[in-house]
Amino acid sequence: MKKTVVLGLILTLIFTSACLSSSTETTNESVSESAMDTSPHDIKSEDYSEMDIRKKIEAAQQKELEMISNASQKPHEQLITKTYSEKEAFEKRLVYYLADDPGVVSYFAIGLSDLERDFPVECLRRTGEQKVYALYKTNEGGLIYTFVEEGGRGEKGWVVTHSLYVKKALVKSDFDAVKKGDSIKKVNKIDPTVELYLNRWNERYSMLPYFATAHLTKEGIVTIIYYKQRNEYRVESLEVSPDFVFDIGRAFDCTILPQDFPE
Amino acid sequence: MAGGSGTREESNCNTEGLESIWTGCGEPTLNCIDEWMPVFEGLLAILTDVVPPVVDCIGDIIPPPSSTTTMTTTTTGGGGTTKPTTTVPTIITVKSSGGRTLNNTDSPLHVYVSNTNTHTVTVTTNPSGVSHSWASSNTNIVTVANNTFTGKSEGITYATVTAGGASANIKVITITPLSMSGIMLNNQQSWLGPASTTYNLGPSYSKYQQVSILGSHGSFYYTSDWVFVPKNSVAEAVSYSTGDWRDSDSTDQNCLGYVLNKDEDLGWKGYVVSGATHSSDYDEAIPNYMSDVQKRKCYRITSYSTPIPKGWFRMAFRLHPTSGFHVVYQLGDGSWAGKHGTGTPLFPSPAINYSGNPSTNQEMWTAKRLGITIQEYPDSMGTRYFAVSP
Repeated sequence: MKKTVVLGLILTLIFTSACLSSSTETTNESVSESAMDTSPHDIKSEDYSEMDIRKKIEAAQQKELEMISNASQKPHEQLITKTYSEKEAFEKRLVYYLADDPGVVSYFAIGLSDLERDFPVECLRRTGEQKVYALYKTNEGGLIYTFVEEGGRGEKGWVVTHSLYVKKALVKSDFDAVKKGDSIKKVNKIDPTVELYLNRWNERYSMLPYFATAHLTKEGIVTIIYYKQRNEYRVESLEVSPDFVFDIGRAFDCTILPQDFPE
Repeated sequence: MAGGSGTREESNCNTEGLESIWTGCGEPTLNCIDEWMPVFEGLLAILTDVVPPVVDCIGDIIPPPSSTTTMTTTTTGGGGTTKPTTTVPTIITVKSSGGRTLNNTDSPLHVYVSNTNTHTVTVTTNPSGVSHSWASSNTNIVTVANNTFTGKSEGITYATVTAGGASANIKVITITPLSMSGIMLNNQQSWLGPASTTYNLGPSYSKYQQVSILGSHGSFYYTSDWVFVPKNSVAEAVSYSTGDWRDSDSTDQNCLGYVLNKDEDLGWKGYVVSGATHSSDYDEAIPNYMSDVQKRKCYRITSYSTPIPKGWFRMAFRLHPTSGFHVVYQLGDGSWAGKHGTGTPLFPSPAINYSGNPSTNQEMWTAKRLGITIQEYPDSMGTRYFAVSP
């Protein structure tokens, strides 16, 4: 089966879109601030421009451009000061993943400025003309890569498209022993993030017969698809994407700078 | 793309002015002002609660009745804020040529006049026949003679009418036709009074504009975004959507992409509402997004059957309590179509055709995967409707 088709079996790769979350989390202050005040009071005409939502959006866009232009290549150890617990990262969807989205939900689009507001970006890397990623650390020693693309999802501006959570430096050969029919528990022993993703998935989608995970290795992205058999997710297929782009019908680029691979 | 382009009927009235607002091309012309004056005056009066607005469709402009409306202001020894000059009781009834100028709940009384049309204000007294007179130091009122006013420029000034032994101050608000061109109904179901001078509506504000609601004392109650719908489109408001069925199982296209006929996974980027807890929290964000990002006109309508401009379509929106949103659009045959999320190649999320009323048909708001319900958008979140241009 072709790679894209196989990968397409899942909608649920461990892919993210940080904070894509609930409406209460995916916010834009400028909108709420512009909410119409229906209480009668005098407003001078000079005040109108301050209430103009479009100007605030322009400011957000300008902020995004400034962030992009200030992208650094310094070691993340010199840049990142704040850490997040895994629990917080998953619950607040700093780590959002396609496993959280079986493709039937339309999520709100999160801009880079939204990400900055909710999870201040201390380490931003530019990997292409229209691609950056923000790097975060967890209290548990993991790294969260949140990928942002200009025009991502078809929206204007810089939009979060997906993310990866990595706790352990992996190489492709770590997965050599994984074969079709193996329990997902076996994969979790190789990559301990699997359990985190699976728990999140089971909170809402345990009724679905499929699941998928993606794993960052130095040789590329390893994507594993699972089908539920005997009441357990079991490996159906495993693919390696040496170009760090995994494809589930849409291509998700997980290219990172060499200095950001976990050690 | 949902819907075709609407046709427009020719009108005896030159609507070029309004058209220019619609298209953003050219200067508005005022050829129609005579025809529109009663409308404007009527709407202004509505602002002062003299006549309740008559609305048979959202976005429509309903001219006021042609007959004059009279409101009686009883002044005992005087009216408005002016102390009586005499203790002799006199009832003064004042009405304008537009039939809608008075508001005796405010003091002083209001009279709106334009600077191009002669505006007649008449006074009756009780007992009848008591002679009355006008006096004003108002430089904006060009003529004060025999109850005939003409404004000179925008402004608020005063005139005093004296009848018998009583007198009353009349607040005269003069309005230029340009600002009056902005009088219409907004998506908040409010009527727009004269736009502030800062935001007079001209060709530079072609899509929509943030304007002000004029308070009863000349102050501005609040500002809101207004969508300007061309007069002809409103006149041709129809009870059906314009939209054809579109099949899709694209993995790049979510519900909003499907509704807008774009192979994209759209999510209101830049317009996501902080702390939204009800679908209505998106009443303003959605028209803003549609205009700014999608370059479409959009305004909220009250129900799934509210008439909309010809060539437009209706869209229904629901917010999920914790995760995402969903939208569907109405086809020309009255049914609805939607697509839940992007899906995947082997498990595509197909477009689905629905019948009925989105407010009550929960099927439209139930996302399924392999026949299994994955997510429901509960009725308690509210269903909001929008008219969207093609």
